[in-house]
Amino acid sequence: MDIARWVGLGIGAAVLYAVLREAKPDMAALLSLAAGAVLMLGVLGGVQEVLEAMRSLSSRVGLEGTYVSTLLRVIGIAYLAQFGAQACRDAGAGGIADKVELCGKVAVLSIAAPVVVSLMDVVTGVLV
Amino acid sequence: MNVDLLFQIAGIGILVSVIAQVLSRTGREDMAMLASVAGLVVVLLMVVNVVAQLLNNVKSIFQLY
Repeated sequence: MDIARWVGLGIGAAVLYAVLREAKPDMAALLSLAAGAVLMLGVLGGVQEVLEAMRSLSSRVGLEGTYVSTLLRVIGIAYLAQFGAQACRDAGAGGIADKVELCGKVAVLSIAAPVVVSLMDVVTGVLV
Repeated sequence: MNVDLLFQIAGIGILVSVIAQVLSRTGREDMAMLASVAGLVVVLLMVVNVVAQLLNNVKSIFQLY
Protein backbone atom coordinates (compact mmCIF):
# COMPACT_ATOMS: atom_id res chain seq x y z
CA MET A 1 0.00 0.00 0.00
CA ASP A 2 2.48 2.62 -1.12
CA ILE A 3 1.07 6.03 -0.45
CA ALA A 4 3.29 7.64 -3.11
CA ARG A 5 1.36 6.02 -5.94
CA TRP A 6 -1.98 7.17 -4.62
CA VAL A 7 -0.84 10.71 -3.99
CA GLY A 8 0.69 10.85 -7.46
CA LEU A 9 -2.50 9.54 -9.00
CA GLY A 10 -4.57 12.09 -7.09
CA ILE A 11 -2.37 14.99 -8.18
CA GLY A 12 -2.36 13.78 -11.78
CA ALA A 13 -6.13 13.52 -11.77
CA ALA A 14 -6.40 17.00 -10.28
CA VAL A 15 -4.21 18.44 -13.02
CA LEU A 16 -6.22 16.66 -15.72
CA TYR A 17 -9.39 17.95 -14.06
CA ALA A 18 -8.09 21.52 -14.20
CA VAL A 19 -7.18 21.10 -17.87
CA LEU A 20 -10.57 19.65 -18.76
CA ARG A 21 -12.60 22.14 -16.77
CA GLU A 22 -12.25 24.93 -19.31
CA ALA A 23 -12.77 22.78 -22.38
CA LYS A 24 -15.50 20.49 -21.17
CA PRO A 25 -16.87 21.01 -17.62
CA ASP A 26 -19.17 17.96 -17.85
CA MET A 27 -16.27 15.71 -18.86
CA ALA A 28 -14.24 17.14 -15.98
CA ALA A 29 -16.93 16.11 -13.50
CA LEU A 30 -16.82 12.59 -14.91
CA LEU A 31 -13.04 12.58 -14.63
CA SER A 32 -13.20 13.55 -10.96
CA LEU A 33 -15.80 10.82 -10.35
CA ALA A 34 -13.57 8.25 -12.04
CA ALA A 35 -10.50 9.42 -10.11
CA GLY A 36 -12.43 9.17 -6.84
CA ALA A 37 -13.61 5.68 -7.68
CA VAL A 38 -10.14 4.48 -8.67
CA LEU A 39 -8.59 5.89 -5.50
CA MET A 40 -11.22 4.37 -3.23
CA LEU A 41 -10.88 1.04 -5.01
CA GLY A 42 -7.16 1.19 -4.29
CA VAL A 43 -7.79 1.91 -0.63
CA LEU A 44 -10.28 -0.95 -0.24
CA GLY A 45 -7.47 -3.49 0.00
CA GLY A 46 -5.99 -1.73 2.99
CA VAL A 47 -9.39 -1.27 4.57
CA GLN A 48 -10.00 -5.01 4.29
CA GLU A 49 -6.80 -5.81 6.18
CA VAL A 50 -7.77 -3.36 8.94
CA LEU A 51 -11.20 -4.95 9.20
CA GLU A 52 -9.71 -8.45 9.45
CA ALA A 53 -7.46 -7.29 12.30
CA MET A 54 -10.40 -5.62 14.02
CA ARG A 55 -12.55 -8.72 13.64
CA SER A 56 -9.86 -11.04 15.06
CA LEU A 57 -9.24 -8.60 17.92
CA SER A 58 -12.93 -8.40 18.80
CA SER A 59 -13.36 -12.19 18.69
CA ARG A 60 -10.34 -12.62 20.99
CA VAL A 61 -11.80 -10.09 23.43
CA GLY A 62 -15.08 -11.97 23.25
CA LEU A 63 -17.07 -9.00 21.96
CA GLU A 64 -20.46 -9.99 20.60
CA GLY A 65 -20.46 -10.49 16.82
CA THR A 66 -23.57 -8.43 16.08
CA TYR A 67 -22.04 -5.20 17.39
CA VAL A 68 -18.93 -5.65 15.29
CA SER A 69 -20.95 -6.32 12.13
CA THR A 70 -23.11 -3.28 12.88
CA LEU A 71 -19.98 -1.20 13.25
CA LEU A 72 -18.68 -2.57 9.95
CA ARG A 73 -21.85 -1.66 8.13
CA VAL A 74 -21.87 1.83 9.59
CA ILE A 75 -18.32 2.34 8.35
CA GLY A 76 -19.30 1.06 4.91
CA ILE A 77 -22.27 3.40 4.71
CA ALA A 78 -20.14 6.35 5.75
CA TYR A 79 -17.53 5.34 3.18
CA LEU A 80 -20.05 5.25 0.35
CA ALA A 81 -22.05 8.30 1.40
CA GLN A 82 -18.90 10.41 1.57
CA PHE A 83 -17.84 9.21 -1.88
CA GLY A 84 -21.23 9.99 -3.40
CA ALA A 85 -21.57 13.37 -1.73
CA GLN A 86 -18.08 14.38 -2.84
CA ALA A 87 -18.77 13.32 -6.42
CA CYS A 88 -21.96 15.38 -6.47
CA ARG A 89 -20.16 18.37 -5.00
CA ASP A 90 -17.42 18.09 -7.66
CA ALA A 91 -20.07 18.15 -10.35
CA GLY A 92 -21.31 21.40 -8.84
CA ALA A 93 -24.51 20.03 -7.33
CA GLY A 94 -24.17 21.04 -3.68
CA GLY A 95 -27.83 20.46 -2.94
CA ILE A 96 -27.76 16.89 -4.17
CA ALA A 97 -24.59 16.25 -2.19
CA ASP A 98 -26.33 17.31 1.02
CA LYS A 99 -29.26 15.03 0.22
CA VAL A 100 -26.89 12.10 -0.32
CA GLU A 101 -25.28 12.80 3.04
CA LEU A 102 -28.74 12.96 4.62
CA CYS A 103 -29.51 9.52 3.17
CA GLY A 104 -26.24 8.25 4.65
CA LYS A 105 -27.12 9.61 8.08
CA VAL A 106 -30.59 8.06 7.97
CA ALA A 107 -29.13 4.70 6.93
CA VAL A 108 -26.62 4.80 9.78
CA LEU A 109 -29.33 5.71 12.27
CA SER A 110 -31.58 2.92 11.07
CA ILE A 111 -28.76 0.41 11.59
CA ALA A 112 -27.64 1.82 14.92
CA ALA A 113 -31.16 2.01 16.41
CA PRO A 114 -31.32 -1.62 17.67
CA VAL A 115 -27.91 -1.25 19.30
CA VAL A 116 -29.10 1.83 21.18
CA VAL A 117 -32.24 -0.02 22.28
CA SER A 118 -30.22 -2.93 23.64
CA LEU A 119 -27.94 -0.43 25.41
CA MET A 120 -30.98 1.09 27.07
CA ASP A 121 -32.11 -2.35 28.22
CA VAL A 122 -28.71 -3.02 29.76
CA VAL A 123 -28.66 0.36 31.50
CA THR A 124 -32.18 0.06 32.88
CA GLY A 125 -31.39 -3.49 33.97
CA VAL A 126 -28.41 -2.27 35.96
CA LEU A 127 -30.27 0.67 37.53
CA VAL A 128 -33.40 -1.23 38.58
CA MET B 1 -5.40 0.37 -9.82
CA ASN B 2 -6.39 1.15 -13.45
CA VAL B 3 -4.58 4.43 -13.78
CA ASP B 4 -4.77 4.47 -17.54
CA LEU B 5 -8.54 4.98 -17.28
CA LEU B 6 -8.00 8.53 -16.07
CA PHE B 7 -5.68 9.37 -18.92
CA GLN B 8 -8.07 7.86 -21.44
CA ILE B 9 -10.91 10.01 -20.11
CA ALA B 10 -8.78 13.14 -20.23
CA GLY B 11 -7.67 12.29 -23.77
CA ILE B 12 -11.21 11.73 -24.97
CA GLY B 13 -12.34 14.95 -23.32
CA ILE B 14 -9.66 17.06 -24.96
CA LEU B 15 -10.14 15.35 -28.32
CA VAL B 16 -13.89 15.89 -28.29
CA SER B 17 -13.56 19.51 -27.30
CA VAL B 18 -11.10 20.11 -30.16
CA ILE B 19 -13.36 18.34 -32.64
CA ALA B 20 -16.36 20.33 -31.44
CA GLN B 21 -14.41 23.56 -31.82
CA VAL B 22 -13.34 22.68 -35.36
CA LEU B 23 -16.81 21.62 -36.38
CA SER B 24 -18.46 24.70 -34.94
CA ARG B 25 -15.84 26.93 -36.61
CA THR B 26 -16.65 25.46 -40.03
CA GLY B 27 -20.30 26.25 -39.50
CA ARG B 28 -21.65 22.75 -38.63
CA GLU B 29 -22.94 23.34 -35.09
CA ASP B 30 -25.23 20.28 -35.11
CA MET B 31 -22.30 17.96 -35.88
CA ALA B 32 -20.33 19.60 -33.08
CA MET B 33 -23.17 18.91 -30.64
CA LEU B 34 -23.39 15.30 -31.82
CA ALA B 35 -19.65 14.83 -31.41
CA SER B 36 -19.66 16.16 -27.86
CA VAL B 37 -22.65 14.01 -26.91
CA ALA B 38 -20.94 10.94 -28.37
CA GLY B 39 -17.77 11.67 -26.44
CA LEU B 40 -19.76 12.10 -23.25
CA VAL B 41 -21.52 8.77 -23.74
CA VAL B 42 -18.24 6.94 -24.27
CA VAL B 43 -16.75 8.41 -21.11
CA LEU B 44 -19.94 7.67 -19.17
CA LEU B 45 -19.73 4.01 -20.12
CA MET B 46 -16.14 3.81 -18.94
CA VAL B 47 -16.87 5.55 -15.64
CA VAL B 48 -19.98 3.49 -14.92
CA ASN B 49 -17.95 0.29 -14.98
CA VAL B 50 -15.44 1.58 -12.42
CA VAL B 51 -18.11 2.97 -10.10
CA ALA B 52 -20.13 -0.25 -10.28
CA GLN B 53 -16.99 -2.24 -9.40
CA LEU B 54 -16.35 0.05 -6.44
CA LEU B 55 -19.91 -0.21 -5.13
CA ASN B 56 -19.93 -4.00 -5.41
CA ASN B 57 -16.59 -4.30 -3.61
CA VAL B 58 -17.73 -2.06 -0.78
CA LYS B 59 -20.99 -3.96 -0.43
CA SER B 60 -19.15 -7.27 -0.20
CA ILE B 61 -16.45 -6.07 2.19
CA PHE B 62 -18.75 -4.28 4.62
CA GLN B 63 -21.58 -6.85 4.28
CA LEU B 64 -23.98 -4.08 3.26
CA TYR B 65 -26.82 -6.11 1.77
